[in-house]
Amino acid sequence: MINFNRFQLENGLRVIVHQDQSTPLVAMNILCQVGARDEEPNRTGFAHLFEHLMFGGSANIPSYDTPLEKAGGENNAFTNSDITNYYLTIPKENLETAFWLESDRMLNLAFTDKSLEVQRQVVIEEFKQSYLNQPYGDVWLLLKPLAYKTHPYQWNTIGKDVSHIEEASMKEVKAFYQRFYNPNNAIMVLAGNINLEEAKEYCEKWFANIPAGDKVQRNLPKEKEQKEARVLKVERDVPNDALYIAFHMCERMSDAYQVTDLLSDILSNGPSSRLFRTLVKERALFAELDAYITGDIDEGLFIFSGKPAEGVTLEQAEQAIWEEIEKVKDELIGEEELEKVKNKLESSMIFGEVSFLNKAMSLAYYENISNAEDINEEVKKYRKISAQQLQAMAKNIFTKENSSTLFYKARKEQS
Amino acid sequence: MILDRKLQPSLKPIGDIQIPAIQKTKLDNGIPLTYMNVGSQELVKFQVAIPAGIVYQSQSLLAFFTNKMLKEGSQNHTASEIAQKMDYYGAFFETRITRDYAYFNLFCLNKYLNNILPLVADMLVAPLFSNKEFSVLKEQEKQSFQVRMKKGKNLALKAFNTALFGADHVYGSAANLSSYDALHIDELKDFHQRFYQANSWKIYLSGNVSDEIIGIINHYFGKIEVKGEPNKKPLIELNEVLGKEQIWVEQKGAMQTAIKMGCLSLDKKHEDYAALNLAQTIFGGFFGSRLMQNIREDKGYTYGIHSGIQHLQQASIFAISSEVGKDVASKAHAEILVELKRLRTELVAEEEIELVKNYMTGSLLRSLNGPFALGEMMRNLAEFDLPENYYTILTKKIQEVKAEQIINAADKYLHEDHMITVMSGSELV
Repeated sequence: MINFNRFQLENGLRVIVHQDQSTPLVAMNILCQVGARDEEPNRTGFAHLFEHLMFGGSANIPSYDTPLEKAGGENNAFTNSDITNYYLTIPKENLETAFWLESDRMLNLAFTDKSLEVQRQVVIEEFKQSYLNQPYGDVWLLLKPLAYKTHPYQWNTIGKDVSHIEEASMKEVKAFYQRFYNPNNAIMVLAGNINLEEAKEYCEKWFANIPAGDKVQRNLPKEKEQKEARVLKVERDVPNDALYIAFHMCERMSDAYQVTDLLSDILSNGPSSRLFRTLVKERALFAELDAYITGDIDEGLFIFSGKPAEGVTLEQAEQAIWEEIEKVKDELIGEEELEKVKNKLESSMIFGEVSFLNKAMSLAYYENISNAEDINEEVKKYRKISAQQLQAMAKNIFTKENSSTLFYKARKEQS
Repeated sequence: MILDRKLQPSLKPIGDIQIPAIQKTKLDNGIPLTYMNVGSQELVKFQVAIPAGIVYQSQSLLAFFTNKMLKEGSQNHTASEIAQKMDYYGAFFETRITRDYAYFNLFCLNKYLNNILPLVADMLVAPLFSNKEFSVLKEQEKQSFQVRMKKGKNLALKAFNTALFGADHVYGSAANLSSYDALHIDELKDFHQRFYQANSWKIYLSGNVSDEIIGIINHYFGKIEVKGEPNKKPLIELNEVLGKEQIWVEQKGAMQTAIKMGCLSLDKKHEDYAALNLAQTIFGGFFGSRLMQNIREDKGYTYGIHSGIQHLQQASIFAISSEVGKDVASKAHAEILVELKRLRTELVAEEEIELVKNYMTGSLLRSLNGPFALGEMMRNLAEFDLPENYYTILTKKIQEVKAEQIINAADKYLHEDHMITVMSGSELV
């Protein structure tokens, strides 16, 4: 159970405050409601590139990092398909510096050419380091466009292609900022050694006079129902073959979401999960095997990803996964197994409440998808799920027509 | 009132580092238990540390697999039962090997300790070492090893350690693909028999710790038979400081070049450690460091570059790491050299020193926060034989370091003429 208070400024900024006096620090998390799904198809990777530019100085403060470090603080950020999330932690004594810095970059950025040119290069190096120059690094670049044909989830946060990042212009950068970086399109969470009065006082002082922007209108194309199995085969210079199967699943706010998530836990969460016990340990068909959901706001994916053991072909591996899928479709999951995944989920939620920064991020996450109060309702939703619901879900999503399979073959070395 | 947005709100001194008291006791059989009551949730982190790391092994991968096989079943519980129970009670467990220690870590809700601890004790005292499970595990680990060896940064690290310590040295040796097949289950059994005796164990507990919890631990771990002599640290000799050395490791098709550069460094008790720590943080120890500002934020050669000091029981290593675009690898390397030289020849401005000192205090507060981090800290202090107030003293010492001391420390301990440089990529441009 996480207790918190909330208030909203006139410009629309929502603020959530969770007091945890066991730490001498405060976390400030600012979730901006913009992600890769909001990008134009010819400017993919833009939301993430923009995240980098947010550290290039603002109208009144030439450097973001230096004053924060001087105050003993530290920060970072991440971008995904749905959101861009900025977070920092700072000793409570110097909390006001966080308000000063964050409000100025929400008010106006510096937009220097130098910052754009350098961060463009940094992001290209990140593209190489994380995707192109890594064994299996391009898997997501292949799998997402295989599974999605119309929805923007077809591209990755880093972008479809390096050229999109190379071509981004200052004009586009400014327009993006105008459209999305406004107080009414953001959620602030303060967690740690802070009380509600302090939070209100600083928010009023630093954020209240930032003008609201136009409400963001989103008309994202809905992914059409997939009607036939899709298969992609590639060869790469990697040590071992790998296999990926993606199925379409519901959106985050559907009642079916928790059922789908729990189904992935049955299959693959923890050392006693079915795929690990059966296919990795007992039958030793896989060196690694996971099943998980992407958890996106719009319709997401349920993914199986594995590396077959030495001597096992991709076709055998694929068949073995389907055998496990058929099992979960045919036979009702037993009481104890169901109880186990629910217990584990509840325990994970409790462990997640140990860190004040983690709590700040979680509160912002829930406020973004629905409202922060839901964080304390989540376990109950999972507790209610029946074995019948899990079976029905498996039957519903695990069909060949709904599958996109990527055979990632290791190129045999010529020696 | 008009708000002056150009002016940073006044900074206040950051409060003293408050660490809850570290407490020590012994279980009935003499196993030392170090604990800390911290945090608001009813849960604990439970660590068993055994000096049975890589330096104790006679054969490559022996320590690693002995540790890893603890999860694969015990005399009284199959691997599947263990997994089933751990998951059912929502507990998380991990085995971990370092060059000096073998660890078993458990994260558990207090209300389930009675269900989980007997399992853990059995896994440590009486692992099964099933040949079948071992073969499966070995094949899996072989695959993940092959993937790791496709990454430039790992190739560079391997070559760096070998160059720093020597290929036959316990700190410098590394596994090859053939090491996996050379290992047999009987060797694991012997290693366990020899180095996992309970008289070498130390237990660390952090979280919501009450007398009742200690009683539960004593119940399951206080009756384990303790006999013989504790493991003796092998004596490790280090090379004399080497001259400048450059190593190139080819990796076909790489789009980036991995750089690893460094030298042997100071242990935490050395009188110059505070000054060196400050110097290296200024140089490459955080986002605002000189390396990051120059090589990432000014030139865009890399996604990240950093430096740090790693402490082993009998050696400390200073290292710089980065992956840079292959076309700019030589330029990036040249800039690292420029920054090293600058650090040992030019006085650091007071403002920069103050910034880094504050950053380091904040960083320490962050790293000593919450039951999990404090559990690590407690164990670290014990393993390096440091006083309980070590971090308070270190912070104070760092605050007192002057610009001249930084130059001196850099000149003495961060001199590019004594560093090994490894670069791994497709071609050196």
